[in-house]
Amino acid sequence: MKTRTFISTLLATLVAAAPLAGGEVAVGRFAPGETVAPFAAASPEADSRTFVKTALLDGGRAVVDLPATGTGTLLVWVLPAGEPDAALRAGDGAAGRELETRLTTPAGRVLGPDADGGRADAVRRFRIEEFGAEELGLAVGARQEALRVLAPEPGLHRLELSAPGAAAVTVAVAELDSPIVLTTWAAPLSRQPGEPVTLYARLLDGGNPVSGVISARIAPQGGPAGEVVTLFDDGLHGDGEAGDGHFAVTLEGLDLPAGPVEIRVEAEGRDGHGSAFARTGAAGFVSERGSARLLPGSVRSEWLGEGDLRVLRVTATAAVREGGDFRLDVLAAGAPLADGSRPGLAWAERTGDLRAGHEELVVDLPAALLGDGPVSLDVRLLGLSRPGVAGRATLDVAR
Amino acid sequence: MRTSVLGLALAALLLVPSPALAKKGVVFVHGKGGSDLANQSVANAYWGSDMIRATTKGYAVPYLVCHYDGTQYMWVAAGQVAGQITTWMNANAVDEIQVVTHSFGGVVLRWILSNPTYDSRYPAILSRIQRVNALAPPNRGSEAANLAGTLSGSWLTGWLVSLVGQNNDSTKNCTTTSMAYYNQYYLKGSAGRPALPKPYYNVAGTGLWNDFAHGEDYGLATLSGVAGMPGEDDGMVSQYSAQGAGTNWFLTLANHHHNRRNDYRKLGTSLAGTY
Repeated sequence: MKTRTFISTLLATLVAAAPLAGGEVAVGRFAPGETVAPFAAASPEADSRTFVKTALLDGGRAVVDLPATGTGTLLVWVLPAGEPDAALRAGDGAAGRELETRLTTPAGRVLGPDADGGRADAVRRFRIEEFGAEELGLAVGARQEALRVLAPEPGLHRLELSAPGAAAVTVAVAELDSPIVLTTWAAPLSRQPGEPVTLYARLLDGGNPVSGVISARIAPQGGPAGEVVTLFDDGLHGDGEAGDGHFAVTLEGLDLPAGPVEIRVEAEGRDGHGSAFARTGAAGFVSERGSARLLPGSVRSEWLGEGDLRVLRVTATAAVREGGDFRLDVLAAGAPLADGSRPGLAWAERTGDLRAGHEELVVDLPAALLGDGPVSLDVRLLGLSRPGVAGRATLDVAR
Repeated sequence: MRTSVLGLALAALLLVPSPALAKKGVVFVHGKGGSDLANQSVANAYWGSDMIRATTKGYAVPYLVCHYDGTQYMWVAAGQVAGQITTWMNANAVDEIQVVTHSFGGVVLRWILSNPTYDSRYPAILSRIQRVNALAPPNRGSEAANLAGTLSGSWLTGWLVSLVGQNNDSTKNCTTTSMAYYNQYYLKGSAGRPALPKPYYNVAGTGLWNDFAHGEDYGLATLSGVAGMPGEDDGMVSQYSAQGAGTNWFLTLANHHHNRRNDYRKLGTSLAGTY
C-alpha cells in the first residue's frame, strides 16, 4: 500500500538534535500520490442484525423466546457460560458438557434434542467443537450449538434449553439477511478527561426509519457496565430530525479510568408488519489518561534558513501532569481533496522523556519535503510510557 | 544536511551485508490466545511442526518461534517478542529476518515497526527485518472481537460477571474501535498514514469451510454470521481488515484456524518462497 522512497529511507533513519529540546527525531515523506486520511473524530460504525441475551438457569433449565421478523435465515448460537456455580456443578461435569436444546418455531415446527436435522431440513442443529473462544478471551463451556432456521416464520421462536453443568447460557441470534439493521458508533474516538461522550445509533428497515426503543450501557476498562441510558430520536439530542431513525444521547460528567471503553446498545421494536425484533450493537471509544495536554494556541510554525537548509520549524508546548516518554507527531499535508483527504507530504516524530510541568517541543521538517503549495499540519502528542493521546492540534502554514 | 545524509547513506550501504553473505532467519509470531502461549511448547503447537518445517525449507534456516502471553495489549506482547528476537538474532548472528505472523501477531509487528523509539531493542530488530508476511492480521479490527465484548460478563451483574468473564486486553486491542484509534495515532501502514519502514505483506482468508463435517468450521461460520462480518472473511478476520495495512499478497481459502497450520492450503510453501 505504501512505497518507500530513497529519501524517506534516509531521513527516517536520521537522528537529529533540535535546538530547543532533546529527544530523538525521525523524519520521512509520503510517496507521491499517497494521501493523509481525513481525521476520524468518531468510532467506526458497526452494523448489527443480531441480538444477545443471557439467561440464568433454574435447576439447569431455561426458556428463552426469540423474536424474528421472518425476513431471512435465523441463526441461533447457544453458549453455556464459563465455570459452573459450585452449587450447580453436577458431579464431575464441566460447564456445558451437557447441553440440550429444543427449538419450536411460531408455526409449530420442532427440532428436539435428539434430532440434528439434515442438510435439506429447514431447521438444523450444528454441534460446535471450537470457534476460538480462547482467542477471543471468552470463558464459555466446552460445548456450544448453532441452530439454523431457513425461511423462518415471523414471531417468537421458543428455545428450551438444559445445561445442568452451567449456571447461565448466552444466546446470540442473528437474522442474517434481515433489512432491519442497527448501526452504532460513538464520539469522540479519543476522549480527554471531562469531555462529554455522544452515543449514536441508526435503526433502519431497508433504509427507512422503523419504530423502536434504543438504550445503551457503557463499560470502562476493567469494570462492570454502568446504568442504562436511553437514546433519543426526537430531533433535540443531536440526532437529526425527529423520527428519522437516527438516535443519540450525550453523556456528561463521566468519571472513567483510562483505557478502552465498550458500549453495548440494545434496540427493540416492531417492523412494518407488526413483528417484534431485537438488535444488540457495539461501539466504543478510548478514555484518555490526561497525563499531558498540548497548551491551547501553543502550536505554531515558522520557516527558517535558506536553500537546502530551509526548514519548517514546528513548536508546541506540553503541559505534563505525569512525566514519562512522549512523542510529538507532525503530519504535513497539502490542500484538501474532494473526499476530504489531503496529499501527504512529510511526517516527523520527536520522542523524549518529559517531566511534569511545561515543556516546549520542537521538530523541524525539511522544506524540500514540503513542496511549494499549501501546507497543513496535524500535530499530536502521544504517550509512550502509558500509551494514549495527550493532545492534538491542526495548523495551516503561512508561506 | 545533504552532505551528512549522503555520508550516512554510504556508510549504511557499506555496513549492510550483501544478500549473498547475509545470514537469513525466520521468526514466527503467533496471534491472540491464552496466557499459556507464553510457553514455548504451546507456541510451537500453535503453528504446528508442518508449518514450521515448510516455512524454514525443512529447517534449513535458523528460526525462532516467539512465545508471548496472548491476552495482553500489543505493546506488552511486543516487549516479549522483542526480547526473544534480540537474544536469538544475536546468538545466531542472523542479519536478515523474515517474520511470519498470524492474526494479532501481525498487529504486534506493526507496533514494533511503527514505534521504533518505544523500546531501545526495536531499532536493531528493525534494521534486520527484511520482510513481514502477515497471515490474517486484523489490521482494521475484527467484528468477532466486537462480539466478544458484547458476550463478555461486563454487562451482567453480581456473580455473573466473574462467571462469564471479561474479555482480555488483546481482544480489546482488536475491536474495530480500538484498531481505528491505533491506526489513527500509533500504527503506520494503513491508508492515509505514513508507510511502514519495512515491507509488510498481508494474506487474507476468505474460506470458512475447510472441512465441511468439522465442528470447528461450523464454529467459525457461526461466529462470522453472528458477528456480522462484512464481505469475505476467514471466520475471525474480514478480508477488508486483513488488507487494511501493507501490500496485499494473496487470498487463501484456509480459514482462520487452518491458515497457520499448513494443513489445508499449503501456505508454508508460499512463505518459504520469499527469502
